[in-house]
Amino acid sequence: MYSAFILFDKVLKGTEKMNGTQIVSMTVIGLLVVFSALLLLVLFLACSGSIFRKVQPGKKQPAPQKKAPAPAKPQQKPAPKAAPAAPAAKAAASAEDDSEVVAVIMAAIAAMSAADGKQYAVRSVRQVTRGGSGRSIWAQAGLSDLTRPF
Amino acid sequence: MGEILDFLTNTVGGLWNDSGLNALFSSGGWKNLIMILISFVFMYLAIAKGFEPLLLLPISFGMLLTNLPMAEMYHPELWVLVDGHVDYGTVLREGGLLDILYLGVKLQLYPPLIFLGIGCMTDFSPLIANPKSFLLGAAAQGGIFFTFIVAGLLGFTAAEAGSIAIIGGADGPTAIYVSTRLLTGDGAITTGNIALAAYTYMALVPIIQPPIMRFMTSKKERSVKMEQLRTVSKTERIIFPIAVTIIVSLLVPSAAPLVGMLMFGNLLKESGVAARLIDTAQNALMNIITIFLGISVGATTTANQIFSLKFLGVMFLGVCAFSLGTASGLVLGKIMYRVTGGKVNPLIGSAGVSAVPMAARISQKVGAETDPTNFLLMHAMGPNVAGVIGSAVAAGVLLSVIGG
Repeated sequence: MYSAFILFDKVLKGTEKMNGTQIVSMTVIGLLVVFSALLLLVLFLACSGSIFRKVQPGKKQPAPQKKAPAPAKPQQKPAPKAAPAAPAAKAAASAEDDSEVVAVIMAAIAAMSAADGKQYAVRSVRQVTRGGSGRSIWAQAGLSDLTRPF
Repeated sequence: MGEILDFLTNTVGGLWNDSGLNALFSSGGWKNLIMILISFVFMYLAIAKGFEPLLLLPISFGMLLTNLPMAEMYHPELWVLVDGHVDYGTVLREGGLLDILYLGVKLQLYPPLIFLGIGCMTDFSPLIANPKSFLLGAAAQGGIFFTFIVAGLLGFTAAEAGSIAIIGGADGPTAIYVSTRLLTGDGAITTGNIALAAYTYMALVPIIQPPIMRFMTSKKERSVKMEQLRTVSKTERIIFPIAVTIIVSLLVPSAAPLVGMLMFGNLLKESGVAARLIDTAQNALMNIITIFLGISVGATTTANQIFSLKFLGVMFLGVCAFSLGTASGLVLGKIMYRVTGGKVNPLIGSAGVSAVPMAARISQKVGAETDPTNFLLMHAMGPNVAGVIGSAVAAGVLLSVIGG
C-alpha cells in the first residue's frame, strides 16, 4: 500500500504543463485513492458499529433528536393546543376517556383565561392526525423549532 | 536664504519621491490602484453582504495593505525559490510584518492548527451512526479531480491545476495548505487568488447548490424521509478519531498533518477531560490563527501577480469545481437511493462538499422545500463531515503526485 505510493511519488512536475494521459491518470488515481481510503473507514466503522451494538443491546435509547425538544415544549406551545380545543364544541363525546389530560389542558386554559379575562371550556378531545411523518405533533413542533435557524 | 530654500525643496522633493502617492501615479502604479479597488469589492462583500466575513475581511484588508506602494509590509520577491528553497534567513532579516506572518502559511502551520479548532467543534456521530455517508463525502471530491481535468486541458501547469482543483474541496484551510505547497510564488497564480476564490464560493454555496440539486433530483427523490440515526456511544466517539488518524495517515501520509490535527481536536472534545484545551483551541487559538492566515494570505495578491487572465481563470474554474463537487455527490446519492430501494435521500449527497455546516443546511433547506416535515439536517451532517476528511485525503493525493 505504502510502497505503491512511492511509485508515483511526485511524478508530475509542478512547473510543467501536462498531457492528456497524465491528466486522466491523475484523476483516476486521485478518485481511487480517496474512495479506497474512505471505504476502509466505512468498513472499519461498520465492523466496530456492529460490535458496539451487540455489546450494549440494552442501551437502545430513543434518539436524542426526539428527546431534546421535550423540555422546551411546555413554555412554547400551550396556546395553539388550547385554542383549537375550545371552539370544538360541536362534538361533545369522548372527553371522559382521558380525564388527566383534560385536567392538564384545563389548567393551561385557565392560565390563559386569567391572562385575557375570558372563560373557556373543553368540550372534546380528539386525536391529531400525524400527517404521515411518524412523529408526534410535539416532536414535529420541537424539530421544526430546532432546525428553523438553518 | 537661498540655502534654506534649497534645503526645503530638496526635503519636500525627497518626501514626495518616497511617498506612496508618487509611486501610485508613476509607471505601473495603476495596477496597484486597481488591486486596491478590487480589495474594496471584497471588503464590501464581507461587510455588507456577510460573505464569510471572518476570513474575507482579513484577506481583503491584506490585499489593500500589500498594494499600498512603499508600505513595505510584504515582499513577494523574498518568497521566490532560490535553488528550490525559500531563503528564510533573508525573509527574517528583511521581511515586513506580513512577510513574518506569512511564514506560518508557507511553513504550513496555520491550516493544521485551524483544523485542530475545527476538530474540537465537529460532532462526528452522524457519520459514525451511518458510515455509508463516507462514500458521499468521497464522491463530492469528484469536483476536485474533474476540475483538475478541465484546468489541465486549459493549459495550466500541474501545480496550478492542482491548486485550482482543490477549491472544489470547499475547504479554505485545505485549499491554502495545498496551494502554498504547490505554487512556487513566481507564477501568475498565488495562494491569495486560490483563497479568495475558495472563500467567495464557500459564501456562495447557498446560491450555487440549490439549482443543481433541484435540477438533478426528482420530487419523489427529494421527499424521501430517512430513518432516524442510532445513538452513538461515547466509546465509539473516542475510538473514531484515533482510528481515522491511523488509517488515513498510513494510506495517504501527506494528508496526516490536516487529518491528524482535525482528529486530535476531535479526541480532545470527545474525551471530555480536556475542557480547557478545547476552549483555547476552538476560540482563542483559532481566532488568532484566522487573523494571521487571512491577512497574510491576502497580502500575496500583489498587483504584478494577480494581474493576468489566469486570475479570471481561477475564479471561473473555482465555481466549476463547486458545481462539479455538488453534482458528483448527488450522483452517488442517487445511486444509493436506487440501491437501498429509496431509503437514502439523494439530497444529502451534495453535503459531501465540505463547507461545514453550510452544505448540510442547504440539503435540509431544499428537502424541507419539497416536504416541510422532512428533516435531513442530521443525515446531511454525515457526508458533510466526511467531506472534510475526504478533501484532506484528496489534498494528500495531489501533494504526493505533484512535485515541485
